Amino acid sequence: MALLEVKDLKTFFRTKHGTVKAVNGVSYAVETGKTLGVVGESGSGKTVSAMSILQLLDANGYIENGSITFNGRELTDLPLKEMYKIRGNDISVIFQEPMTSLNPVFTVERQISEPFMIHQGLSKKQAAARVIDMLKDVRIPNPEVVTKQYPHQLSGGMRQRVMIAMALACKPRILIADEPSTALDVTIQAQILKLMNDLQEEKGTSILFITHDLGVICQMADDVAVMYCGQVVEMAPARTIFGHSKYLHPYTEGLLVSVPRLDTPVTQRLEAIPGSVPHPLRLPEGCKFAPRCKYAQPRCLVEEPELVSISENQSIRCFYPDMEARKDGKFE
Amino acid sequence: MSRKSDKNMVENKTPKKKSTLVRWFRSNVLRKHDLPYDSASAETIETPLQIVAQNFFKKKTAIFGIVVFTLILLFVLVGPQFFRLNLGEQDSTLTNIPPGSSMMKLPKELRNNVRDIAPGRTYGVGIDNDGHLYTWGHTRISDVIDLENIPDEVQAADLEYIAAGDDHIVAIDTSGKLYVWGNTRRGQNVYTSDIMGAQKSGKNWDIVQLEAANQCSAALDKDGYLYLWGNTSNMDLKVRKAYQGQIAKISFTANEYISLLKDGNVAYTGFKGKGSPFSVIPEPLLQGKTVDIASTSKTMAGLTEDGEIHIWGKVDRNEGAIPVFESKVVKLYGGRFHYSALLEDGSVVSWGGNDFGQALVPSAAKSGNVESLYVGYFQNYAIKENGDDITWGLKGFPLGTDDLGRDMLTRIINGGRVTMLVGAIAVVISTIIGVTLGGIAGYFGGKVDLLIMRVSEVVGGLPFIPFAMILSAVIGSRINPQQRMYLIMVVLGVLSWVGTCRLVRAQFFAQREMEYVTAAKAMGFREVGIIFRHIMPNVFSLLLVSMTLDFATSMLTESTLSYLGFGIPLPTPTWGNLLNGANNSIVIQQYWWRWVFPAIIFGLCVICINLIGDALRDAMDPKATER
Repeated sequence: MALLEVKDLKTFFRTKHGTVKAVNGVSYAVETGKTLGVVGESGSGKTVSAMSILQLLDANGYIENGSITFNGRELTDLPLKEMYKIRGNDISVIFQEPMTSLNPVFTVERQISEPFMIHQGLSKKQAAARVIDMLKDVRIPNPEVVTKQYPHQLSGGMRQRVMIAMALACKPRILIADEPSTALDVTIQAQILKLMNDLQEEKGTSILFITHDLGVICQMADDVAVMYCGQVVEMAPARTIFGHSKYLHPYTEGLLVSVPRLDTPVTQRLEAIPGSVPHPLRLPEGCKFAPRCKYAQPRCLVEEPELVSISENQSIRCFYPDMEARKDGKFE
Repeated sequence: MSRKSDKNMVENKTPKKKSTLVRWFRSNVLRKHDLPYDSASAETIETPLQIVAQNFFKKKTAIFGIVVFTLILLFVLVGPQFFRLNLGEQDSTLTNIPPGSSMMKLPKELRNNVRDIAPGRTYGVGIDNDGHLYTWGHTRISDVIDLENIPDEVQAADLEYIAAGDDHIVAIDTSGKLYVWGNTRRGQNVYTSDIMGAQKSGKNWDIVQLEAANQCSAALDKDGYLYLWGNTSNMDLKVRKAYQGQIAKISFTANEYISLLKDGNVAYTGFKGKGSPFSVIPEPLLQGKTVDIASTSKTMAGLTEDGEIHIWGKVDRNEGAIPVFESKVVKLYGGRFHYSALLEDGSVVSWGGNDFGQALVPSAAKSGNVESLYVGYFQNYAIKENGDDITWGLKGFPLGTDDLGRDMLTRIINGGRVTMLVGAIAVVISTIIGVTLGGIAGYFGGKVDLLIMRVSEVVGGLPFIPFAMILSAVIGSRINPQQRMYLIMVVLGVLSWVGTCRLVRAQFFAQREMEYVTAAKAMGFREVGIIFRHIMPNVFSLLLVSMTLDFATSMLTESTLSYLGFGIPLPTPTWGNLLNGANNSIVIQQYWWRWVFPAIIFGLCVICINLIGDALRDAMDPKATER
């Protein structure tokens, strides 16, 4: 059994204009010591599905349906008191913005020592000693100096390292990384990703890695879930997607083609997926991706496809998953 | 780094001292670090507080504000130790005295040249050996009468004795002619027919003692005839016929006089004798052995020939605490609340009421050689054998007195303490309420927020001054002044939390959307912990500014209420109460010191608090300085 299993999760938001189905029947699983990458455009529900795990939804959000089991324990109906013990201790989160996710008025020492104090009941002194070790773990030079500094005195990469140190403080089983590298420049991004890979190897932490960057997914993930409009449209091992698979969802295909490559000729235009993500309150009927899909058939606009298993570990939500066939116009 | 500097030191030894000094200056004053990650510089990292402090002290107005406010605060906190407040204090002889310190400043013409001195209420008069008259101190007793305007005939005369009353002066010249000037509206210069006759004929008119008191005067003939004149309505200003020709000395109290008879007995020679506490004269003074008498405003004293002093009357100012004398007392003198005694060895001892140091004899007068002593009201003048003069007692009031004769300086100091205390406690109350409600409304939002905001609008909509007036009128009359002070603090606090509440709520709305709050939640921190431990420090800077400014506002509001008479009740002084007296044009025009000084210190204090608050806000928000 997987360490964390999300099954048919539906997370909705009540708004003035109606109910937004941000996550609409998502299922995925994170295996022990493995990394699951969740890819998708903004608003595809990848962050909301992850936040649902820790019940970190805004006041108007609620879990309509589905189950989330962690280590065999149901999380959706867990009382807040129990949830406090899981947050930061068993499952912790790294956020996208290292600039704002650290409290500006606390020193690094205080930021990192708090989880030790609340989850492990350490004294201030003991926690401070552990902070230095944590900073060393995340490869921060001069931890004795940094520990006394405030977030505004650190660079973006350093802050993200502090953030990771904070998240890993209590040796969580699962780390939810919500676009941890998006706000960093490319060299720092590479360092941070390498650090996360190293730490995973050292500590055996499972990672739920959320990003919109396929390049990062390729580097980090063992399995990939591609999300669109609150649904998983494709679920496959990273190797399958980035290798030359016979079957691929048209959306995944579009994402892959729209990544610039060094080996593409200069004269060739970069392909892009036309249109934009539909408004969450006016989702199209039938296949949600159909209006933007260049292979869309009349059937796609009326009927909604199911997530169908194509092979042992690949499932695709499309009537025409065969890439070659749909390119040649063979729709049967 | 350290190895490098070691090397430098070895190479040229002389600049070693300079370089450490420069480094110290760079790291501690400029807070610049050569190598930010040098492990040795860990302790010199700038905390946000240091940055705020640096920004704060860059502003000249801020430095001015904090220095002046600290001075005022010290003045008001430490001052009451030295300027003790006596709530029951009042003295009709000391009302509305302007600032000054010249009440005992003997003119230089009188130095070594004194024939007689009469200490008056707030002034002094003296005659030199040539019979010329001098006045000093605060002689302007009303806006038209000034005792300094000595009539020409008096200036020309060769004066022998002089006496000073509350608002008039009496003098007699060597030829026996009486002069009276000053306030004469109450018959102070209306002589009886006895006096006119005696003065004309010269019979029984060899005056040896001249006395003046509250609107009345007395002259005593060598042969024991007493002449009394002046305002008789508040004074037992008569003498029984039987005693005429026997009186050796008289002494005035506030409302009566006593006499020492030639046979060595003390007698109440007035008409109100029976029933008055003063008529119960101690037995030892009735044995023909009394040599001197003296009196304060409410007590009388007699000295027997063996040096014993007996005091009777309404003894309530320590007049009865007669000290142990080192030698025999030869003469006795009385001021308004104190006695001074001249001893055989020429030293002086004073006791009794000591509000202005009038019973505190300087060592020069204690050491002896005092030839003559002049005592009256709150002043003592001792003339030594070599002609030196020594004075002690009331010099004057640095900031004047109010309509009840209370020292303005003492009331300003003590009033400031009350005003600041009320302001501070009101701010603490309003901040506690505002932060709690604002924090809850801002963090939880939704219905909780709606409810709290509606309540705050109701409270904010109450017209403050009318409400506070009604409240203090309804409850205020049933409680004692101390409780009323607490009531004002609570009323101020409970009605002024709305601004703080809104500020905190708005800040919480902004802060709770910040990622660090979500991050804190994701770390498993509890909501209460997040509100108070994580968000509050981020709001604190603004809160501090608002508290500072609210402090000034609370002080102003308290003063407004007190000025209107609905705040802290009199006689407890507050800066608003002090200004309360300034609500009519007479005070504003004539007694400027009664409102100028409280207004200046209060204004300065409020301005300084606002300067500090503004500078704090600018220091905490670096963007603001770019404006």
